[in-house]
Amino acid sequence: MSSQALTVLLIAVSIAMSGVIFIFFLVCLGRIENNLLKSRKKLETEVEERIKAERQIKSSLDEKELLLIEIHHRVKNNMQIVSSLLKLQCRQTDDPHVIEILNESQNRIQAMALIHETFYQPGNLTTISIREYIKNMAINLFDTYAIDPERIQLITEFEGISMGIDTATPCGLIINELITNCLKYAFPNKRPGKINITVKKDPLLKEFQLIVQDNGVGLPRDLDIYHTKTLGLQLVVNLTTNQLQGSVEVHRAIGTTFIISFKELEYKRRI
Amino acid sequence: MAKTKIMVVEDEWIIANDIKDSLIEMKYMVTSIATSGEEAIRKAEEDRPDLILMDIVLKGEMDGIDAAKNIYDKLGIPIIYLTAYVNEYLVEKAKNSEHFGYLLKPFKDKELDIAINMAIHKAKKEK
Repeated sequence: MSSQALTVLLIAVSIAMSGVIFIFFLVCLGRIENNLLKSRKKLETEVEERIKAERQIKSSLDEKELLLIEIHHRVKNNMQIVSSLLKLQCRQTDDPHVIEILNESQNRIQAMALIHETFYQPGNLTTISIREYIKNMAINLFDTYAIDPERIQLITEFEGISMGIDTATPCGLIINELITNCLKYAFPNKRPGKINITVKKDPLLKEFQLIVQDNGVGLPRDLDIYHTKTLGLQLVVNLTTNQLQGSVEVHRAIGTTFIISFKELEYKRRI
Repeated sequence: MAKTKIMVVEDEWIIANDIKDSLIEMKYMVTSIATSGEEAIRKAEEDRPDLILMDIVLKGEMDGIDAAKNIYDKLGIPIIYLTAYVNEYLVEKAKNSEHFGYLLKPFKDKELDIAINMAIHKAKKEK
């Protein structure tokens, strides 16, 4: 074979080889592209699924909040019905003593209902704003006892304090009893006066202090708040010492001052 | 002067009767108590009260706002909504219907009395 023919053959073989390599290369590229496409699709579905899952979690969270609001709303509604029942019952009698008992029961239920009302405001489902709560309760009590707010002034001092519902319920009932006592007994014969309510929280000790002070006639000298027959004071003392595990102090120098100290009740978080 | 005639629409019987007693104590006349929107529309047509106290959340297909709209369009009777709900959706819906008052439960007799007087006064002025 001549060298010329050899060269031609070599060139031909080279061209054929390059062709084969080129085709092989194309096939490989196609495969890579195919794989890339597959991974992309997989990633896309995964992202989609995650977005969907996130949406589901968000909507179930919203739903949880709505359900909680609904529960508070229903509890409050039921208490409203109990309160209305007592009112209907109250109209059946002329006995002033019975009327008074029924009225006081209504106020106690109202104080508890108010907790649920103050609670079911969105974004505020585990703690209650004490300011709003006491304000509403006081309005209710002044109204029940037909007290002119010009004659008995209510002065309140709070430091933007919030409380959990387990602490707020007994605390609310205590405040209800103390305000009721002031309105009923501290200012007889249309005597004018003042009621001061202060709620403080010691951040170090985590202790609340509730002070209800009036400049009225003062408690009867012989009254021992730990051994009394009136349900109101029994509630104050027992809810404080037994339920809130706190303490009650009474000062009788000018009018009457109740100082109730207690800590936030620590329950395991339920919601 | 003739007593103002009021209809109460409220699906809780106990609450409805409590309101009724309060109204009677305040010298109003209660024409009837309805417990659903459909019943309210029927009784409003029969009794022609001067004013309707309407609970927003009612049993049945129709809520208080739908019933109020229907009654106001047909009979022009002023309406005061009563509700324990402070729900944005309902407030929006109530805003867009002909309403004369909005009272949050629980309310005091005095508040109810004032709301009724204002609604009736406003309705007279608009006529």
